[in-house]
Amino acid sequence: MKTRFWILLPGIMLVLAVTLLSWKDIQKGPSIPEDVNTILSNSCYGCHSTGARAEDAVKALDFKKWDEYKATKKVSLFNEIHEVLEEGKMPPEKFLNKNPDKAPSAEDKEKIMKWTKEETAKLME
Amino acid sequence: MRKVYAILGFTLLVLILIQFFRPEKNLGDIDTHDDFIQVSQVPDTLARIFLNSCYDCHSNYTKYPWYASIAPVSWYLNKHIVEGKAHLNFSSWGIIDKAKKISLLDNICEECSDGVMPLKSYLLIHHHAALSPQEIAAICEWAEKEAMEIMKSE
Ligand code: HEC
Ligand code: HEC
Repeated sequence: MKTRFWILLPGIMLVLAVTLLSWKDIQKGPSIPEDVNTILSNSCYGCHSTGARAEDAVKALDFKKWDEYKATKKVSLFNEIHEVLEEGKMPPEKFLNKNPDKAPSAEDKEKIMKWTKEETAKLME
Repeated sequence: MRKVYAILGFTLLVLILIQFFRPEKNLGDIDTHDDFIQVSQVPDTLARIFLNSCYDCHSNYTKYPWYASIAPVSWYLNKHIVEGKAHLNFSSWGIIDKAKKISLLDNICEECSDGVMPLKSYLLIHHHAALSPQEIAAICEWAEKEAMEIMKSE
Protein backbone atom coordinates (compact mmCIF):
# COMPACT_ATOMS: atom_id res chain seq x y z
CA MET A 1 0.00 0.00 0.00
CA LYS A 2 2.68 2.40 1.01
CA THR A 3 4.87 1.80 -2.02
CA ARG A 4 1.92 2.12 -4.32
CA PHE A 5 1.28 5.59 -2.92
CA TRP A 6 4.83 6.66 -3.62
CA ILE A 7 4.53 5.40 -7.18
CA LEU A 8 1.32 7.31 -7.65
CA LEU A 9 2.60 10.51 -6.10
CA PRO A 10 4.39 11.88 -9.16
CA GLY A 11 1.24 11.20 -11.18
CA ILE A 12 -0.90 13.07 -8.71
CA MET A 13 1.53 15.97 -8.65
CA LEU A 14 1.54 16.08 -12.42
CA VAL A 15 -2.24 16.22 -12.60
CA LEU A 16 -2.25 18.94 -9.96
CA ALA A 17 0.38 20.96 -11.77
CA VAL A 18 -1.41 20.74 -15.11
CA THR A 19 -4.70 21.76 -13.51
CA LEU A 20 -3.07 24.70 -11.79
CA LEU A 21 -1.33 25.83 -14.96
CA SER A 22 -4.44 25.60 -17.08
CA TRP A 23 -6.39 27.37 -14.35
CA LYS A 24 -3.95 30.21 -14.68
CA ASP A 25 -4.58 30.20 -18.42
CA ILE A 26 -8.32 30.38 -17.88
CA GLN A 27 -7.88 33.21 -15.43
CA LYS A 28 -5.72 35.08 -17.88
CA GLY A 29 -8.60 35.13 -20.34
CA PRO A 30 -8.24 35.35 -24.09
CA SER A 31 -4.82 35.26 -25.67
CA ILE A 32 -4.71 38.96 -26.27
CA PRO A 33 -1.58 40.79 -25.16
CA GLU A 34 -1.87 42.75 -21.95
CA ASP A 35 -1.46 46.25 -23.37
CA VAL A 36 -3.98 45.63 -26.14
CA ASN A 37 -6.35 44.00 -23.71
CA THR A 38 -6.27 47.05 -21.45
CA ILE A 39 -7.37 49.31 -24.28
CA LEU A 40 -10.02 46.92 -25.52
CA SER A 41 -11.44 46.38 -22.06
CA ASN A 42 -11.76 50.11 -21.53
CA SER A 43 -13.23 50.98 -24.93
CA CYS A 44 -14.88 47.86 -26.34
CA TYR A 45 -15.65 45.11 -23.84
CA GLY A 46 -18.67 46.98 -22.49
CA CYS A 47 -20.50 46.04 -25.68
CA HIS A 48 -18.39 43.28 -27.19
CA SER A 49 -18.25 40.54 -24.60
CA THR A 50 -20.58 37.75 -23.57
CA GLY A 51 -23.36 39.07 -21.39
CA ALA A 52 -23.23 42.65 -22.65
CA ARG A 53 -26.63 44.17 -23.31
CA ALA A 54 -25.84 45.15 -26.90
CA GLU A 55 -26.87 41.85 -28.53
CA ASP A 56 -25.94 42.94 -32.06
CA ALA A 57 -22.52 43.94 -30.86
CA VAL A 58 -21.88 40.64 -29.07
CA LYS A 59 -23.04 38.73 -32.12
CA ALA A 60 -20.73 40.69 -34.39
CA LEU A 61 -17.72 40.35 -32.11
CA ASP A 62 -17.29 38.72 -28.70
CA PHE A 63 -13.85 39.22 -27.16
CA LYS A 64 -14.61 36.75 -24.37
CA LYS A 65 -14.98 34.05 -27.02
CA TRP A 66 -11.90 35.17 -28.88
CA ASP A 67 -10.03 31.89 -28.47
CA GLU A 68 -13.00 29.90 -29.75
CA TYR A 69 -13.12 31.65 -33.10
CA LYS A 70 -11.81 29.72 -36.10
CA ALA A 71 -8.68 31.07 -37.75
CA THR A 72 -10.62 32.41 -40.75
CA LYS A 73 -13.09 34.14 -38.45
CA LYS A 74 -10.19 35.73 -36.59
CA VAL A 75 -8.72 37.06 -39.82
CA SER A 76 -12.14 38.40 -40.71
CA LEU A 77 -12.56 40.12 -37.35
CA PHE A 78 -9.01 41.52 -37.32
CA ASN A 79 -9.78 43.03 -40.67
CA GLU A 80 -13.01 44.56 -39.41
CA ILE A 81 -11.46 45.86 -36.20
CA HIS A 82 -8.79 47.56 -38.28
CA GLU A 83 -11.45 49.06 -40.53
CA VAL A 84 -13.71 50.40 -37.81
CA LEU A 85 -10.78 52.02 -36.01
CA GLU A 86 -9.36 53.52 -39.17
CA GLU A 87 -12.74 54.95 -40.11
CA GLY A 88 -13.50 55.99 -36.54
CA LYS A 89 -16.73 53.98 -36.54
CA MET A 90 -16.09 52.29 -33.20
CA PRO A 91 -16.74 52.93 -30.40
CA PRO A 92 -20.00 54.48 -31.67
CA GLU A 93 -20.16 58.28 -31.49
CA LYS A 94 -23.30 58.28 -29.35
CA PHE A 95 -21.56 56.12 -26.80
CA LEU A 96 -18.50 58.36 -26.75
CA ASN A 97 -20.58 61.47 -26.25
CA LYS A 98 -21.86 59.95 -23.04
CA ASN A 99 -18.59 58.26 -22.05
CA PRO A 100 -15.75 60.47 -23.27
CA ASP A 101 -13.28 58.65 -21.00
CA LYS A 102 -13.80 55.45 -23.03
CA ALA A 103 -12.46 56.95 -26.23
CA PRO A 104 -9.21 55.28 -27.32
CA SER A 105 -6.41 57.78 -27.91
CA ALA A 106 -4.77 58.01 -31.32
CA GLU A 107 -1.88 56.07 -29.86
CA ASP A 108 -4.20 53.37 -28.52
CA LYS A 109 -5.80 53.00 -31.92
CA GLU A 110 -2.40 52.71 -33.57
CA LYS A 111 -1.45 49.99 -31.15
CA ILE A 112 -4.57 47.97 -31.85
CA MET A 113 -4.32 48.39 -35.59
CA LYS A 114 -0.71 47.26 -35.49
CA TRP A 115 -1.75 44.25 -33.44
CA THR A 116 -4.45 43.27 -35.96
CA LYS A 117 -1.98 43.48 -38.83
CA GLU A 118 0.69 41.43 -37.07
CA GLU A 119 -1.74 38.73 -35.95
CA THR A 120 -3.26 38.52 -39.42
CA ALA A 121 0.18 38.07 -40.93
CA LYS A 122 0.89 35.28 -38.43
CA LEU A 123 -2.38 33.50 -39.22
CA MET A 124 -1.81 33.75 -42.95
CA GLU A 125 1.65 32.24 -42.87
CA MET B 1 -62.26 70.62 -60.20
CA ARG B 2 -59.84 73.09 -61.69
CA LYS B 3 -57.70 72.73 -58.62
CA VAL B 4 -57.48 68.95 -59.14
CA TYR B 5 -56.38 69.44 -62.73
CA ALA B 6 -53.80 71.94 -61.61
CA ILE B 7 -52.37 69.52 -59.09
CA LEU B 8 -52.37 66.64 -61.57
CA GLY B 9 -50.77 68.80 -64.19
CA PHE B 10 -48.12 70.00 -61.80
CA THR B 11 -47.33 66.46 -60.65
CA LEU B 12 -47.00 65.32 -64.24
CA LEU B 13 -44.71 68.20 -65.01
CA VAL B 14 -42.48 67.35 -62.05
CA LEU B 15 -42.42 63.69 -63.09
CA ILE B 16 -41.38 64.67 -66.59
CA LEU B 17 -38.74 67.08 -65.37
CA ILE B 18 -37.08 64.66 -62.99
CA GLN B 19 -36.63 62.23 -65.89
CA PHE B 20 -33.83 64.46 -67.08
CA PHE B 21 -31.80 63.62 -64.01
CA ARG B 22 -30.56 60.16 -64.81
CA PRO B 23 -28.00 58.31 -62.76
CA GLU B 24 -25.41 56.66 -64.94
CA LYS B 25 -26.32 53.03 -65.51
CA ASN B 26 -24.22 50.25 -64.15
CA LEU B 27 -23.45 48.48 -67.40
CA GLY B 28 -19.77 47.67 -67.31
CA ASP B 29 -18.00 44.72 -68.80
CA ILE B 30 -19.46 41.53 -67.40
CA ASP B 31 -16.59 39.09 -67.63
CA THR B 32 -13.42 40.71 -66.47
CA HIS B 33 -10.70 38.38 -65.32
CA ASP B 34 -10.97 39.73 -61.78
CA ASP B 35 -14.49 38.39 -61.45
CA PHE B 36 -15.35 36.48 -58.28
CA ILE B 37 -16.74 33.42 -60.05
CA GLN B 38 -13.61 32.99 -62.13
CA VAL B 39 -10.99 33.96 -59.57
CA SER B 40 -12.44 31.87 -56.75
CA GLN B 41 -13.65 29.14 -59.12
CA VAL B 42 -17.14 29.20 -57.72
CA PRO B 43 -18.95 25.92 -58.51
CA ASP B 44 -21.71 26.28 -61.15
CA THR B 45 -24.69 25.83 -58.85
CA LEU B 46 -23.45 28.54 -56.51
CA ALA B 47 -22.32 30.80 -59.33
CA ARG B 48 -25.88 30.77 -60.64
CA ILE B 49 -27.18 31.81 -57.22
CA PHE B 50 -24.72 34.71 -56.92
CA LEU B 51 -25.43 35.90 -60.47
CA ASN B 52 -29.15 35.65 -59.91
CA SER B 53 -29.42 37.09 -56.40
CA CYS B 54 -26.44 39.35 -55.82
CA TYR B 55 -24.76 40.59 -58.99
CA ASP B 56 -27.37 43.27 -59.73
CA CYS B 57 -26.06 45.25 -56.76
CA HIS B 58 -22.60 43.79 -56.26
CA SER B 59 -20.99 43.80 -59.69
CA ASN B 60 -20.23 46.11 -62.59
CA TYR B 61 -23.25 44.88 -64.50
CA THR B 62 -26.89 45.25 -63.48
CA LYS B 63 -29.79 43.61 -65.32
CA TYR B 64 -32.31 46.44 -65.22
CA PRO B 65 -36.05 45.86 -65.32
CA TRP B 66 -37.91 48.13 -67.79
CA TYR B 67 -39.17 50.57 -65.18
CA ALA B 68 -35.66 51.04 -63.84
CA SER B 69 -35.14 53.98 -66.18
CA ILE B 70 -37.98 55.92 -64.66
CA ALA B 71 -37.17 58.43 -61.94
CA PRO B 72 -37.51 58.25 -58.97
CA VAL B 73 -37.23 54.43 -59.21
CA SER B 74 -33.93 54.88 -61.04
CA TRP B 75 -32.53 56.94 -58.16
CA TYR B 76 -33.55 54.38 -55.60
CA LEU B 77 -31.94 51.53 -57.53
CA ASN B 78 -28.83 53.56 -58.18
CA LYS B 79 -28.36 54.25 -54.50
CA HIS B 80 -28.41 50.53 -53.72
CA ILE B 81 -26.02 49.72 -56.52
CA VAL B 82 -23.51 52.41 -55.54
CA GLU B 83 -23.64 51.40 -51.88
CA GLY B 84 -23.63 47.69 -52.61
CA LYS B 85 -20.59 47.97 -54.85
CA ALA B 86 -18.77 50.15 -52.34
CA HIS B 87 -19.05 47.32 -49.80
CA LEU B 88 -18.51 44.40 -52.12
CA ASN B 89 -17.86 44.36 -55.84
CA PHE B 90 -17.68 40.86 -57.25
CA SER B 91 -16.31 42.25 -60.53
CA SER B 92 -13.09 43.34 -58.84
CA TRP B 93 -12.70 40.35 -56.52
CA GLY B 94 -9.28 39.54 -57.93
CA ILE B 95 -7.72 42.78 -56.72
CA ILE B 96 -9.07 42.64 -53.16
CA ASP B 97 -6.42 41.73 -50.60
CA LYS B 98 -6.48 38.32 -48.95
CA ALA B 99 -7.58 39.31 -45.46
CA LYS B 100 -10.41 41.41 -46.86
CA LYS B 101 -11.51 38.51 -49.05
CA ILE B 102 -11.68 36.23 -46.02
CA SER B 103 -13.67 38.86 -44.17
CA LEU B 104 -16.08 39.28 -47.09
CA LEU B 105 -16.57 35.52 -47.47
CA ASP B 106 -17.42 35.37 -43.79
CA ASN B 107 -19.87 38.25 -44.19
CA ILE B 108 -21.46 36.73 -47.28
CA CYS B 109 -22.44 33.71 -45.22
CA GLU B 110 -23.52 35.86 -42.31
CA GLU B 111 -25.63 38.34 -44.28
CA CYS B 112 -27.41 35.52 -46.11
CA SER B 113 -27.98 33.50 -42.92
CA ASP B 114 -29.40 36.54 -41.16
CA GLY B 115 -31.72 37.20 -44.10
CA VAL B 116 -30.22 40.65 -44.60
CA MET B 117 -29.06 39.87 -48.14
CA PRO B 118 -30.48 40.02 -50.77
CA LEU B 119 -32.14 43.26 -49.60
CA LYS B 120 -35.85 42.91 -48.79
CA SER B 121 -36.82 45.66 -51.23
CA TYR B 122 -35.09 43.74 -54.00
CA LEU B 123 -36.95 40.53 -53.17
CA LEU B 124 -40.29 42.32 -53.51
CA ILE B 125 -39.67 42.55 -57.22
CA HIS B 126 -37.25 39.68 -57.76
CA HIS B 127 -39.00 36.75 -56.12
CA HIS B 128 -36.65 34.31 -57.81
CA ALA B 129 -33.69 35.88 -55.99
CA ALA B 130 -34.79 34.65 -52.56
CA LEU B 131 -32.46 32.03 -51.08
CA SER B 132 -33.67 28.70 -49.70
CA PRO B 133 -32.19 27.38 -46.44
CA GLN B 134 -30.38 24.73 -48.50
CA GLU B 135 -28.86 27.38 -50.74
CA ILE B 136 -27.73 29.41 -47.76
CA ALA B 137 -26.15 26.33 -46.19
CA ALA B 138 -24.35 25.59 -49.46
CA ILE B 139 -23.09 29.18 -49.70
CA CYS B 140 -21.79 29.08 -46.14
CA GLU B 141 -20.09 25.73 -46.51
CA TRP B 142 -18.34 26.80 -49.68
CA ALA B 143 -17.44 30.26 -48.33
CA GLU B 144 -15.77 28.74 -45.29
CA LYS B 145 -13.77 26.33 -47.43
CA GLU B 146 -12.71 29.08 -49.82
CA ALA B 147 -11.68 31.30 -46.90
CA MET B 148 -9.47 28.49 -45.58
CA GLU B 149 -7.92 28.04 -48.98
CA ILE B 150 -7.19 31.74 -49.35
CA MET B 151 -5.66 31.75 -45.91
CA LYS B 152 -3.30 28.92 -46.76
CA SER B 153 -2.45 30.19 -50.24
CA GLU B 154 0.75 32.12 -50.92
C1 HEC C 1 -21.76 51.20 -27.16
C2 HEC C 1 -21.48 49.88 -27.62
C3 HEC C 1 -20.24 49.61 -28.44
C4 HEC C 1 -18.93 49.87 -28.11
C5 HEC C 1 -18.39 50.53 -26.86
C6 HEC C 1 -18.13 49.32 -29.19
N1 HEC C 1 -18.94 48.75 -30.15
FE1 HEC C 1 -18.37 47.77 -31.82
N2 HEC C 1 -20.30 47.43 -32.34
C7 HEC C 1 -21.40 47.83 -31.59
C8 HEC C 1 -22.61 47.40 -32.28
C9 HEC C 1 -24.03 47.65 -31.80
C10 HEC C 1 -22.19 46.73 -33.45
C11 HEC C 1 -23.05 46.06 -34.50
C12 HEC C 1 -23.50 47.15 -35.41
C13 HEC C 1 -23.79 46.68 -36.77
O1 HEC C 1 -23.91 45.49 -37.00
O2 HEC C 1 -23.85 47.58 -37.62
C14 HEC C 1 -20.74 46.77 -33.44
C15 HEC C 1 -19.97 46.21 -34.46
C16 HEC C 1 -18.59 46.15 -34.41
C17 HEC C 1 -17.78 45.47 -35.40
C18 HEC C 1 -18.29 44.78 -36.64
C19 HEC C 1 -18.37 45.85 -37.68
C20 HEC C 1 -18.98 45.44 -38.95
O3 HEC C 1 -18.51 45.94 -39.96
O4 HEC C 1 -19.94 44.67 -38.91
C21 HEC C 1 -16.48 45.62 -35.02
C22 HEC C 1 -15.27 45.08 -35.72
C23 HEC C 1 -16.49 46.40 -33.79
N3 HEC C 1 -17.78 46.70 -33.45
C24 HEC C 1 -15.35 46.75 -33.10
C25 HEC C 1 -15.34 47.53 -31.96
C26 HEC C 1 -14.14 47.95 -31.29
C27 HEC C 1 -12.73 47.58 -31.73
C28 HEC C 1 -14.53 48.69 -30.21
C29 HEC C 1 -13.64 49.39 -29.20
C30 HEC C 1 -12.63 50.26 -29.73
C31 HEC C 1 -15.97 48.73 -30.20
N4 HEC C 1 -16.43 48.03 -31.29
C32 HEC C 1 -16.75 49.37 -29.24
C33 HEC C 1 -21.38 48.50 -30.39
C34 HEC C 1 -20.24 48.91 -29.72
C1 HEC D 1 -30.77 45.44 -54.03
C2 HEC D 1 -29.36 45.42 -53.97
C3 HEC D 1 -28.62 44.28 -53.26
C4 HEC D 1 -28.71 42.93 -53.52
C5 HEC D 1 -29.59 42.23 -54.52
C6 HEC D 1 -27.74 42.30 -52.66
N1 HEC D 1 -27.08 43.24 -51.90
FE1 HEC D 1 -25.61 42.91 -50.56
N2 HEC D 1 -25.53 44.90 -50.10
C7 HEC D 1 -26.34 45.87 -50.69
C8 HEC D 1 -26.07 47.15 -50.05
C9 HEC D 1 -26.75 48.47 -50.39
C10 HEC D 1 -25.07 46.91 -49.06
C11 HEC D 1 -24.41 47.90 -48.12
C12 HEC D 1 -25.32 48.44 -47.10
C13 HEC D 1 -25.62 47.51 -46.00
O1 HEC D 1 -24.69 46.89 -45.45
O2 HEC D 1 -26.81 47.39 -45.65
C14 HEC D 1 -24.76 45.49 -49.12
C15 HEC D 1 -23.84 44.86 -48.30
C16 HEC D 1 -23.49 43.53 -48.42
C17 HEC D 1 -22.45 42.89 -47.66
C18 HEC D 1 -21.58 43.54 -46.59
C19 HEC D 1 -20.23 43.78 -47.17
C20 HEC D 1 -19.22 44.16 -46.12
O3 HEC D 1 -18.76 45.29 -46.13
O4 HEC D 1 -18.86 43.30 -45.32
C21 HEC D 1 -22.39 41.59 -48.08
C22 HEC D 1 -21.42 40.50 -47.59
C23 HEC D 1 -23.40 41.41 -49.08
N3 HEC D 1 -24.07 42.61 -49.27
C24 HEC D 1 -23.66 40.21 -49.71
C25 HEC D 1 -24.71 40.02 -50.61
C26 HEC D 1 -25.02 38.73 -51.18
C27 HEC D 1 -24.25 37.44 -50.92
C28 HEC D 1 -26.10 38.92 -51.97
C29 HEC D 1 -26.85 37.87 -52.76
C30 HEC D 1 -27.30 36.73 -52.05
C31 HEC D 1 -26.44 40.34 -51.92
N4 HEC D 1 -25.58 40.96 -51.07
C32 HEC D 1 -27.49 40.93 -52.64
C33 HEC D 1 -27.23 45.68 -51.72
C34 HEC D 1 -27.61 44.47 -52.24
